Amino acid sequence: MAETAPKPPSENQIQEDLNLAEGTGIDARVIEDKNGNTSRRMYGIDADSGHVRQLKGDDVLNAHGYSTDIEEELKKEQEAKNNKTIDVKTPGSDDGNDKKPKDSKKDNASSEVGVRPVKEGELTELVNDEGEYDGISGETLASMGHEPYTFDIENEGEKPKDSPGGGGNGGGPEDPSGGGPGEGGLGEGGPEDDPYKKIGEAVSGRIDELKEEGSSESDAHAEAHDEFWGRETGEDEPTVTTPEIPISPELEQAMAKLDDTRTEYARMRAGREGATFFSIKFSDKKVEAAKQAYEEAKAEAGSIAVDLLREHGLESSDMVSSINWGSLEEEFKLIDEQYDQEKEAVEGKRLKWFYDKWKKWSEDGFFSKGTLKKALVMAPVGVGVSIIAAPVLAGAGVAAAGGAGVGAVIAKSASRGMIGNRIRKNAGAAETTETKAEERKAQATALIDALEEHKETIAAELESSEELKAYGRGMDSDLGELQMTQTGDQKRQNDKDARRDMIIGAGSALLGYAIAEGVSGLWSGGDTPDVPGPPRPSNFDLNESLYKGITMEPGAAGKFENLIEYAQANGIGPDSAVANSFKKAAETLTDSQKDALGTALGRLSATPNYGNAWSIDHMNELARMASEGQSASDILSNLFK
Amino acid sequence: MKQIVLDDSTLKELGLDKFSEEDKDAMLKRISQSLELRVGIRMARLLKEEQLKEFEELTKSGKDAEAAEWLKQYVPNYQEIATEELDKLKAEVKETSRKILEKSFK
Repeated sequence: MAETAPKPPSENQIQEDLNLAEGTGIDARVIEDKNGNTSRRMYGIDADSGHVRQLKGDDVLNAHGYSTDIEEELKKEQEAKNNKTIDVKTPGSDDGNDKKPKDSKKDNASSEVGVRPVKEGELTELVNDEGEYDGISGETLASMGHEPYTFDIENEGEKPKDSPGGGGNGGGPEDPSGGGPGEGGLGEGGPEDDPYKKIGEAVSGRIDELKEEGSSESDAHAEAHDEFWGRETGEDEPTVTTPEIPISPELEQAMAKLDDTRTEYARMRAGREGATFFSIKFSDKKVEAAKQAYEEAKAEAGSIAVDLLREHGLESSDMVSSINWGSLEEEFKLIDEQYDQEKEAVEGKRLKWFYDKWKKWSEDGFFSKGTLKKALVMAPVGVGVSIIAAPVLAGAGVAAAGGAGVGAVIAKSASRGMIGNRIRKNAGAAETTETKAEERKAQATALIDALEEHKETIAAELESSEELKAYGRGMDSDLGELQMTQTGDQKRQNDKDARRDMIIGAGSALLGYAIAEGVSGLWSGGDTPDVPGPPRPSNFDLNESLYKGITMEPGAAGKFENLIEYAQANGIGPDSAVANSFKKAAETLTDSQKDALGTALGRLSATPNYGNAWSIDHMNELARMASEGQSASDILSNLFK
Repeated sequence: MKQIVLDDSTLKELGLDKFSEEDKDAMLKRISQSLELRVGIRMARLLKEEQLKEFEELTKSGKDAEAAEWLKQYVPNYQEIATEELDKLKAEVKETSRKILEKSFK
């Protein structure tokens, strides 16, 4: 057998060479395997038993008198290349000059296939039962794409009805009408021009090889057929979906820098953490500097990617998911690099070898047993990791994404797994012209929405983020201007964005707190009921309550404008002490009590000259009243007694 | 033996629960593999060259299971290590996301 598989012939070549004729015969089916790859298989009805069986390529070839000797075929190919006369050896023929007319070929054809002619639809009827054919159930086989393979397997010497002539690239198996292949075959451009590289024995041998490597019978057949007959999908190998959003040159540059800083940081970490003795080369200062550079590069690449996504209209929540995925992949890459760096850095042959062994164990799935269709326990070291998940695919997406930096991963994840690219319309924005304030408002809304979605993962960090709070305060003036252009009706519209904008724009001591606290306080509702996990979060929405209180006051819209003006004129922003006191005070309250407190505060905020006279004592007193179960009206009544 | 469970709640914690099942499966697998490497790094730092002779002999004679048991004996706190490393991984992912988010919305 030859060491390498020759290039398989095209379907037209097969048609030509086999002198296909119209008529009944072998049924061709397009089979799709578990990975979505398709291949064609041929089936016939055994003449003796009447059962369906799959035909191998060499069965068909032999039936038509073609040689399935690979060495012979390769020799013919080589001779053709050397411009020598090609002998087409067929069974029973010693004549090397071979443009064998089809009749003589047919005379030499064997009946090794042993199948009888199949009537149209007959195969489908036969296979549609409980049977299984080479690993494929009858029902599945019956449902597969049917392409009648129109060639004659009987030694009847029938001539094809259609003779397009010259080559016989007739209808072929794709033509269900059985459009005639020509009188081609060896007479017109035979194997010496298109050497038939189909190797029955090589195919069988390849099937055996694949089975020895662990493939099932059906998978081995499918793969071997694909290798020799070509994949039907038109693709050679499954490929990872390329990103729909192209990576910009700016992002590419940022990713390159990220790669460099990551490598350096991994090296420093490996040297610092993995060393058994201190080295000035890996001093804390140097490690910290490498870390800073890496962190900056990560953030830079990530934000450039986010800009790209934003330009393509990606929804904020999808963007956050993309960011999270990119961050995860980046961690994988860092550890991969650090692992290799430490292996290089350690002294000791056995230690280096341990690194290799451990990694190989991991790659071989030594720590995992069974499939991922059920809970998976890591063994035997017993790290004790279980993966409870649906069946794992090759991780193509993640693996491919792992080859890029965080920026590219973000871009790729958006095109692959995201919900969609709906552009979220910001309520109230339609009436305004595009100004800087508009952009800032959109950004703030997007940020708040995104964080609202992922409060459980980000809230803790963001709450402590002074940078974000400062950003929120800076927004107040821009948004105030925006609000000034809106009508009272627009402000009062029952829209979450408008309410948020109003509250953000108010600029009063407490309301301005909303932008700082809002990143963690604008939560309402819980997760969808069918998601298992922690208990549903509180339904309390501070802004809802504040707004409710504000609008209960007569002429509140007008007062808001006053508040905005006042805030702008006096540079009033959130009073962190007051804000923190609210948060602290509200901690022990139930949702309804928080609502009463928030509503009372809203009403107070709308009161002229009251909204900005907050103190911690105020807050605590109000919270105390709320904790006693007093309604907002009760609280205010008691407050002004 | 306390199990570290990697499942949907892990992904939810990392803000990765909105992907397709296919993607989520792949992520969990990758998290597991990365965790294995992290644990491997920590173990390697605890082991001495001379100690590994026995380990080497076991693995080279095909006794991987026994070799793994040997590791458990010489690194008895491997479970704590795994838990720590998983927590670290999650914290680092969240921190990276936070920084990108902040930078992107300034």
